[in-house]
Amino acid sequence: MSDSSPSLRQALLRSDPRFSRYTPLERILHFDDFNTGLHGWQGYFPDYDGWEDYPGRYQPVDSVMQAVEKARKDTAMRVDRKLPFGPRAVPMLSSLTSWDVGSAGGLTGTYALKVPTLPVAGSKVFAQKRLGSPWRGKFRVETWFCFKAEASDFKLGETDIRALYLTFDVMDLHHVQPDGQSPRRWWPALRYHNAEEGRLVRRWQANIGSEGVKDGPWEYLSDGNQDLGYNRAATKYQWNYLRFTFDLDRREYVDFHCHGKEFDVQGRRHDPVPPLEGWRTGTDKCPGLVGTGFGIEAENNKRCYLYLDGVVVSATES
Amino acid sequence: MKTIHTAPLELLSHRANGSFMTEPHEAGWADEALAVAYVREMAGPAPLLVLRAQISADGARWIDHPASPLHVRQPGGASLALSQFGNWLRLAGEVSGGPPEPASACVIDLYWVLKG
Repeated sequence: MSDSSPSLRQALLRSDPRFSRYTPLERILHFDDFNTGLHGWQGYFPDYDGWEDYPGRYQPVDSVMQAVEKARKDTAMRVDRKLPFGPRAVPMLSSLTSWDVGSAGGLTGTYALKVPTLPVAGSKVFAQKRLGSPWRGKFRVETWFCFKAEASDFKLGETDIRALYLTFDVMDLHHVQPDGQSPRRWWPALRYHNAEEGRLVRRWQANIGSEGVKDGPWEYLSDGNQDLGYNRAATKYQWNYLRFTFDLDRREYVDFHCHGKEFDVQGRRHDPVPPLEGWRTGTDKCPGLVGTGFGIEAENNKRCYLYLDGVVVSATES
Repeated sequence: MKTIHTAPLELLSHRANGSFMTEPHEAGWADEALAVAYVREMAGPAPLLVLRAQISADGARWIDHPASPLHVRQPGGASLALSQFGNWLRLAGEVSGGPPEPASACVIDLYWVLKG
């Protein structure tokens, strides 16, 4: 076999119609094909009721009723602190069904995972899945996705979608830290800034120094410009491929590919400025967590939808 | 084995006199849909919450499902079972008999419990 020949593993993956459009690392941790359920992708709900678990470090963990009261008074509250009380938009299995074409179906089969926003400007909704990685090597998330604004007004709606998100909450394992070093928590995250105030932006951002996993501030990637496939009608769905890899041991980005373009993110880190303090910096109760979130944000008072079909998460052992 | 999914539509939701709709939900994969309403609190002279299931072919134009609506007059739980509903689902709520707006007449949690 020549050096350019694929390995047996590559050949097997490439000849399998389920995996031939992905490039998983050596261990496939989960493969989510949404024709068989939601596979644990749930609506995001922040922490609450930490008073007794975190004595002396109460801020910012509230009881559920305190959190409701705070959220009611402060509509601009951060996503990872705001309890989503009242009407909710939650992930669901969608057949991509609309008035004109009927059911478009998913990329494979009938269903895709849909992450909808509320019809409210600034509404930001995530589908979240929390995995405990047993290894400290590389961690890769791949997906095929498309995004649309609600077709009910028969308009294209491209500028009604403010942003797409891929966010992570990552914590070290407790038993593999070098002597004297505390386990760390960090938040690699990517945001596709699609539109703002009626104009298309279409540029990728990364979470570099923020102390919030889903709310920024965000930094534009220097090579972040990209036109994703949106297509020319409100109900024509076009699927895009995305792959993002980071290193759990080095706590830095490895690679990021979307829709045929490699972005220069290697070696980037998330170092909060100012550094995280107290409860937020801790890895207590969550050792080895890799919490993944796919999200979408509305620019106007119109529902926006992110569709995934499907998701492959893989890792290396070292 | 069947798939089951519980979707929270409204949590700790304060509703005053008037009408409201839950967010559209696609449930084409499910054979049965159970709307579950937990009423945490009610207030006012004669509070009444009426919940009606609605269906849609396109997620935009809604019609009433033939199932009889729920009438809730006191805190507690109530459910509405549907077996033929197509894909798009939502609940239409009507609140009356509560205190003058904007005070809330009820505090509710609403769910779809889907199985198929």
